[in-house]
Amino acid sequence: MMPRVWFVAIIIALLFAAGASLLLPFEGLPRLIASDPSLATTIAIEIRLPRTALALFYGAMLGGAGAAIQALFANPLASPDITGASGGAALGAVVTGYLFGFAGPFGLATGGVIGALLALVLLLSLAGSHAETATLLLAGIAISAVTSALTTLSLALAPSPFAFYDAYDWLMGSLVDRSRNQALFAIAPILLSLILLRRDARALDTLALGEEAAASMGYDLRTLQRRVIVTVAVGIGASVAICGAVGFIGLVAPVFARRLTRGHPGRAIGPAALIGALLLTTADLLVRAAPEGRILPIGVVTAMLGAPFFLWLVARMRWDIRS
Amino acid sequence: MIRLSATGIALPGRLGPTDIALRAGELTLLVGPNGAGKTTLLRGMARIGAARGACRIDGFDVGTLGPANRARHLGYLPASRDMDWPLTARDLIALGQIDPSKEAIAAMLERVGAGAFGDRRVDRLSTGERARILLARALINAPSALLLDEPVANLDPLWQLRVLDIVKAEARRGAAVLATVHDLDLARAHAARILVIAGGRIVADGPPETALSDRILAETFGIARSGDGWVIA
Repeated sequence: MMPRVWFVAIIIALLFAAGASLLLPFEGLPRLIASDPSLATTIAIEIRLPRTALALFYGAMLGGAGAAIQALFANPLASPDITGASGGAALGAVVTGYLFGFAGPFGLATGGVIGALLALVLLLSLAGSHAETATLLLAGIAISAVTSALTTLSLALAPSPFAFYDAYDWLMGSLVDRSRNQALFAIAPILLSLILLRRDARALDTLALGEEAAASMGYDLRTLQRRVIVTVAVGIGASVAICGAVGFIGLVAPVFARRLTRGHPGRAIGPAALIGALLLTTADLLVRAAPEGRILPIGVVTAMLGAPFFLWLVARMRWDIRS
Repeated sequence: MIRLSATGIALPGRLGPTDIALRAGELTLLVGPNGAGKTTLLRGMARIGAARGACRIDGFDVGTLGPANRARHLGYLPASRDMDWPLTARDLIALGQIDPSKEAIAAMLERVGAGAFGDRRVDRLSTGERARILLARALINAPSALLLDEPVANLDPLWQLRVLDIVKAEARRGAAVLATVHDLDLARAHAARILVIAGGRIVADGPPETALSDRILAETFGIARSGDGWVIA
């Protein structure tokens, strides 16, 4: 596991971020508690709590799934968004909700899980389980391009005239105005998914020895592969169906997490989930700093923070290869 | 005593049905031209991949042993020396270890001459240094059978000999050892028994004098002895 001091530091930072997410701006809610406690309670429980909880859990899911996918593909550049899983989930949810008319959270989540699963299975069959970085990225880019085009097309063709305006939410993510019920349909699958992924941490660590060595030690790689992909699809599919696709956290969090686990890719799943939760909650705080009346998609914030990091990662890999 | 018995190991197009029995305490070296089926045979015996057949070690069916038990019975060294993650040498060996013991890892690092770089990242070691760490991973549980794919590849002459000594010591401890090599002189000097594979089937099996006869060398490798060296036959 990761060093205790880091663990404590991350938990404290998480508590601060979650607290700020619940209470900011400070002059608002505390004053309301004094004047109208029941309204304040309603706002806190019905509006603030789902948003904070979604930021924490969706962030954790992105981080944990990113670490698991990177371990599975033996590639530090894999992540739910880059592999097309998030895009597939968004497409699945949009088709289910807007074209088939199952717009309740259960319908959306189911569509999201199926979409994510199809995208990951497609990626695996295109790129193979131990893909070169270039193959993996190209296959992921192709899947993401197709899913984002089809998502936009589905929204344009949807019977509702306002559907097209939702495109931003699906492609860039949003945690705003989710109900407690909606949040539960994301959080329950996320918890299930993260618990199951943690159980495969040891097998994924062993996979770091190479597929042959892991197989010779009795690990059934095909079963492991299927289990991780289905588990990731459940968590990512449901959370994208509720919050839309958010990029880069699934890429960034595992890289930091592995620094805390001395490079072990499997046991980085837990720390990556904590770091992902911290990153998304912090990104959501930045979103709220947008000028009054303007809505900043959360995916824009994570992309603006994450994309330079991605470039740095690519540059460092190139440098590693040349040196 | 028969320690490992593999029956009907086969992969269509690569390896015909092959039976092999390895005795406890015996070092057997597997030689053959490129593409003859050495790795396919080793992988099939370790029950990795699509090869058909069955392999029993001390009576246990390798294919049905779970992670904890299989590593006790079988140590397998893959031919690949590539590593994807920046693990330290010590952590890499620990990943292969069933009963965690830092002392055992330290002793193993000394045994493969890696005491000085135990805490360095394996992806930054030289290929030969990394090869020794990967061998250490295969040996760490003192398994009853060892299947080693080119354990001396990438090694300098001193370490080729030292690794062969390590492998022979493993056999003396009671393990059944099968390893592939390309250096026929090395094979002749160190193995009690040599298997020659060509075109996906075993063409010779016996002590070096008979298994590496002039006829077999000419037929399978297309080479002949000339003084101290080799010429194209």
